[in-house]
Amino acid sequence: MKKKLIKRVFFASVLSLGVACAKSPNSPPSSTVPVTSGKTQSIAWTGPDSIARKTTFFEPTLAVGPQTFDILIGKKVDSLTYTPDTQWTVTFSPTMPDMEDMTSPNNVQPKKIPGGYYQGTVNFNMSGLWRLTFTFKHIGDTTVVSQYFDVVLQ
Amino acid sequence: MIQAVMFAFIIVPVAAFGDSLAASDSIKTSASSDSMNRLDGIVVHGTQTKELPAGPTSTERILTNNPEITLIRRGASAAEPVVRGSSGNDISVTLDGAHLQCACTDHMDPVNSYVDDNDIAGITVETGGRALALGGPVLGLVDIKLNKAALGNAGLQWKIGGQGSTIDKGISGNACVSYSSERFGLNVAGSGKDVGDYAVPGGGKIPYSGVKAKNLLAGAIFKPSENWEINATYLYDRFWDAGYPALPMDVGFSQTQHSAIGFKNTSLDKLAWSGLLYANATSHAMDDTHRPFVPMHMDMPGAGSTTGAWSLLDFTKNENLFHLRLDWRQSIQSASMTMYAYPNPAMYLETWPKTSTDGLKASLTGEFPIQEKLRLETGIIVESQSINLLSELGRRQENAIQLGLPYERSFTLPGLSLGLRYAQTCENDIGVSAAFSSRPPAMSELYGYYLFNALTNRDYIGNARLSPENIVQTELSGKFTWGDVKAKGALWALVKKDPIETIDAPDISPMSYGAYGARQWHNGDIEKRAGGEVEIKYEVLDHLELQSVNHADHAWVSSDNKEPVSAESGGKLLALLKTKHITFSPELEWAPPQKRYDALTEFTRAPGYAVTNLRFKGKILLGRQIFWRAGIENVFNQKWNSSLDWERFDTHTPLYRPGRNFYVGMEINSRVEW
Repeated sequence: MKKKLIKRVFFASVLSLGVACAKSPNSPPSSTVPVTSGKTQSIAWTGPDSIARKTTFFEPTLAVGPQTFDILIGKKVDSLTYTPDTQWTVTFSPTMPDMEDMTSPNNVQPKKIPGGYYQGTVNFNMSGLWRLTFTFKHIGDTTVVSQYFDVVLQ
Repeated sequence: MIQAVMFAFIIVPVAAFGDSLAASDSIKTSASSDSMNRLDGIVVHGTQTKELPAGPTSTERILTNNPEITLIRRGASAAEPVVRGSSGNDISVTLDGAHLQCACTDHMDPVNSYVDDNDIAGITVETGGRALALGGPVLGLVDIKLNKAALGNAGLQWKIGGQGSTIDKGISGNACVSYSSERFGLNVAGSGKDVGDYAVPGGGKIPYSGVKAKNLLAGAIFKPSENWEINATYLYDRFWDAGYPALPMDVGFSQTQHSAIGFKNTSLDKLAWSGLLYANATSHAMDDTHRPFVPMHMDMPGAGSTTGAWSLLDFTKNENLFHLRLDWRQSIQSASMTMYAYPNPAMYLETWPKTSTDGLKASLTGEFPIQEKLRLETGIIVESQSINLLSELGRRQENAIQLGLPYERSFTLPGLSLGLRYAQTCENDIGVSAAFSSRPPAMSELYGYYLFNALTNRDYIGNARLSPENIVQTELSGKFTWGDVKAKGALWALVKKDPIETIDAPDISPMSYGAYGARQWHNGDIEKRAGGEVEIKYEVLDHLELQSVNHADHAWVSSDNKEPVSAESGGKLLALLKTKHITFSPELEWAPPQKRYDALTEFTRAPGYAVTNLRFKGKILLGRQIFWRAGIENVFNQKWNSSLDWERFDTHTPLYRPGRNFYVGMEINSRVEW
C-alpha cells in the first residue's frame, strides 16, 4: 500500500514536469508545452528489451474542435521509477467506433516536445465516443506497438 | 442537348415566340379562368366559386401544369420543384412573395409542401429578368398565391367537399366559410387528408408512402377608403407520418405557421403601391422508428423562421412603366442530429448550425415604348446578403473541418436585365431577353455539416470560402395565335461561371452508414444549360379543345461535377370535351428515354413512358351548386416513373408511381346574400 502511494506521488511529479496551459478549442496546438491538466489514462506494457513501460495519455479538452493532447512513454528504471522513453515514433488515428470507424480530418501527428512528451492534435468533429489508436514504432528495430484510448465527448 | 431541345419542336411543330423576359407572363394567365387549364379548373380568388378541378389535385399537380416546372420526388408527397432544370438553392419558392425558411436539411419539407391545393389561388413562375424584378433568383421564382378574403356584395358563403381514391385508400376533406361586404371580407378554410401507402402495378404497395395532413388558411380584407386595401393572412399547415420511400427515414412531423399583412394603395394618379409584412416559423422532425432495419436510431429535428417585408411601387412617366421593388428578410435556421449507439453515449452534431441570413434586395425595372409595337424592358438589381454562423458548437465543429473558416460571409451583388419585345397584337408577339445575376452561396453550401443525400449516397460538407456563382440567362420567347390555334413557347440558354457544385472530398470520412464518401461544395468552372417549352391550345370544335404542354431541358456540366442534374424532358397532351353538364378529359403524360442519375454508375438510362388518365367533372344545380369529379388515372396500369424520381432506399429499385387509380370527389357550394 505504501509502495503504491509512493509510486503515485512519483508519477504525479513526473507528470507535472510541464506547465498546464489553458487553451481555447480553436486555438492552434502548442508545440512545446505539455498538457497535463486533464485526466490521464495509462497502459502498462513490455518493450522489445523486456523492460516494463507505461504509456500515459493526457486527455485533451473533451470538446468539439481541434484539441491538443500529450502522450508520455515511461520506461521502468526500478520498482518506483520511470524515465521518459523517446526512442519511438508515435502516430495516431482518431475514430468513432460507433460510426463505422469514421475518422476526422486535420489531425496533427504527435511530435516530441521537451520533457519527453509527445504532443499532437486530435480534431473532434462531433460529440460521442472517440477512440484514439496510437502506433509506436521503436527507433532502431522493427518493434511496433499499438494501443488505444477511449474518450467521450458529451 | 440539341436532341432534347429539338425534340420538343418535333413533337409540336409550331413556331412559338413571344413575351420577352422569360416565361414570365405564364403566371398572369395561370390564375385566370381562360388560361390553358393550368389549374385544371376555374380558380377565382377569395370567396367566389371555385370549380372542382378535373383530377385529384395536389399542389404538385398544380405546379407541373406550368411547363417550366418538373419535380424531384422522394415519395408520394412533398415533391421538390425544379424550374428549367434548376432546383434547391438555385431557385426560390415563396408565398405571396414571402420567404419561408424550411426546416429540413434533406428537402423533405419544401415550401409547397406546406400549402394545400385548396389554398392556392394561382402560381407565378418567372425566370430571368422578371424573376429578378420580383425579388427572386434569375434561375427561377415560383410564387404561390394564397387564397385571400374578397370584397363584394354582402353575403355569406360556405363550401364543403371531399375526395377519395382507391390506389392509396386516401381520403381528404375541406370546408370553407367566407363573408364578404363592400369594405370587409373574411375567409376561413380548413382541410385534412389521410393517405395510405399506394399500390404499384404487379401487386404490392410501396411502403412508407402515405401521409397525414391538416391545413388552415384564414384571411381578412379591409378597405378603409376607396384607395386603400389591407389584408391579413394566416396559414397553418402540419403533415405527419409522411413516408419517403426514397430516403432512409420518414417525417415524424413538419409544421409551419405563416402570418402576413399586406396592403395596396392606388391613391395617386399613375402610381400603385403594394407591400407585405410577414413572419413565419417552421419546425420538423424526422422519424426512423417505422423502418425495420435501422443501424442506429436518430433524432433529427430542424427549425426555421423568417421575418421579412417587400414593397412594390408601380408608376408611369411619359408612357414609361417603372417598378421599384424592395425585399428584406431575416431567416434563422438550425438542425441537429443525435445518434443513439446503445450502450455507448449518444453522438450529437449540428447539421445546420444555427445561422442567420439577412437579405436585402432592390430592383428597378422599366418598360419603355420604342416604337408603336416595340418595347424595351430593362432592369437593375442590387442584392446584399449576409450569413452569420451563430452557434458556438457549430463554429467549433465547422472549424474541425474547415480550419480557420470565416464565421460570417457578406455579399453585395449586382444584377441586370435587358429585353426587347415586338408585339404585333395582344396575342402575337416575340421577344428576346438577357439577364445577368450572381447567386450568393446558401447557408447549407457554406456551413452544412454532414448532410446526407440518399440519391448520391454521400455526405455533404459546406465550404465557408465559397464565392457567388455568376449566371447569364438568355431567352427567345413568344406567343402566337393562328385561327383556333394558340401557342406560346420559349427557347432559353444559360451559362454559369464559377458554379456552386460539389466535388469528392477524400480527406473527409463519411459519417452515414454505407455512404460512398463525402463531398464538399466548391466553385466549379463553367456550367451550361439550355432548353425550351411549348404550349399549344387548339379549339377543334366548339366543345372540343386540344392542349399540349411540353418541355425539354439539358445541362452541360464540368467533368468533375458529379452531382445529379435535374434536367428532364417530357410533356402532357390532353383533350377537353365539354358538354352542358359534363367535361371529359383524356390525358396523356409522356417522356422520352433520358438520363437518370445513379449513385454507383453516375448515369443510367431511364425508359420513356406514356401514361393515360381519364377525367370527368360536372356540375349539378339543386338549389345549391354541387360539383363532382371522377376518373381513372394510369388507365392501363403501367409501371412508370420519371427520370427525376429517386429510387427506393430499401431495395434500390425504381420508385414506381401509383398503378391504376379510381377517384371520386364532390363539393357543395352555397351563398346567401343580403
